[in-house]
Amino acid sequence: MSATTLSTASVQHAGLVRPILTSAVLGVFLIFAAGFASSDALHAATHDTRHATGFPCH
Amino acid sequence: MTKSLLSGGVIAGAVTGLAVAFLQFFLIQPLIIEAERYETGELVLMGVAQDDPSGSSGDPVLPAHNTDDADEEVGIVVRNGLTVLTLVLTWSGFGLVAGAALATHRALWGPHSISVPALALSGFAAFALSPSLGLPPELPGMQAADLSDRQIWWVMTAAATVAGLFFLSGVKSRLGRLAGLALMVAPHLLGAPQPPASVPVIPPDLAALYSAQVLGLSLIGWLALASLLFRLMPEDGREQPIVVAEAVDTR
Repeated sequence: MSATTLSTASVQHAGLVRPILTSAVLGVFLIFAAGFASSDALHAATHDTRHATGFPCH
Repeated sequence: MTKSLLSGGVIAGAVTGLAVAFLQFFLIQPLIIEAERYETGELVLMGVAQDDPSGSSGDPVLPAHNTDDADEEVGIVVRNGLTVLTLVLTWSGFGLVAGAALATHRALWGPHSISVPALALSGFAAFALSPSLGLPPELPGMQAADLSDRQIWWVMTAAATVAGLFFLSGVKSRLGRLAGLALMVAPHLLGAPQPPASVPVIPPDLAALYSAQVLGLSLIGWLALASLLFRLMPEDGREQPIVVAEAVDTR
């Protein structure tokens, strides 16, 4: 019984690693693109958002 | 699970971004525009303001603005449209990171180990409050240290706060909690990059109001984001293994 519980938990954790990593990496990518990317075009587009969200700007 | 985690984070973040954008145009955007008038020299701190004098000194400013009114209006629409879009993208990013943190917390310490206010305050602390203690939200025209140095310190502080909060909330040992606290305090002991000493261009009351409103709006955003995430990612632990089992079976 306890072995079954353990294996269920392992499967659950193994299945969770990939979606959690995907979500975190994609989220960090979006935050970096909007808040930190240094290209002039991106800076112009995100200027007010960076100021209003508290990201360093200029 | 991948699908529900990603869609939950993006939907919660996008809705929050739209709400934040709506509030931003009433609260924060007017302050940015006013600061830009100081930045460009149209208004001068402690000097003669040119925006509303009673005499004719205001007139020379108006014709200059009227010459390209149409272009200016198009510019404003584009600028505000891009702000809405990038706020939606930013908050979608926050939503995905918060969704990943929520799922990790539940997997490690149980489905009921974290509440809406705890997630909201953690996100607010990591991505707004803690970085702003060293680098207050800056208006255009404010003096600041080197951009790369500030960005590195900001990212380091946010990451250390996220890691510290995980230790503080999940690890039960006293040593673990002490490590969490140390992680959160370390960037502040190191110190944020400071601007060079100079004569201020922006009125201090404008900067103070701006800082307070940015932090207030961020708190509102994080409360909304956490509430939406909990609705889209229910904490009922019985649902998760079924979805995970399906995902595993298909591979």
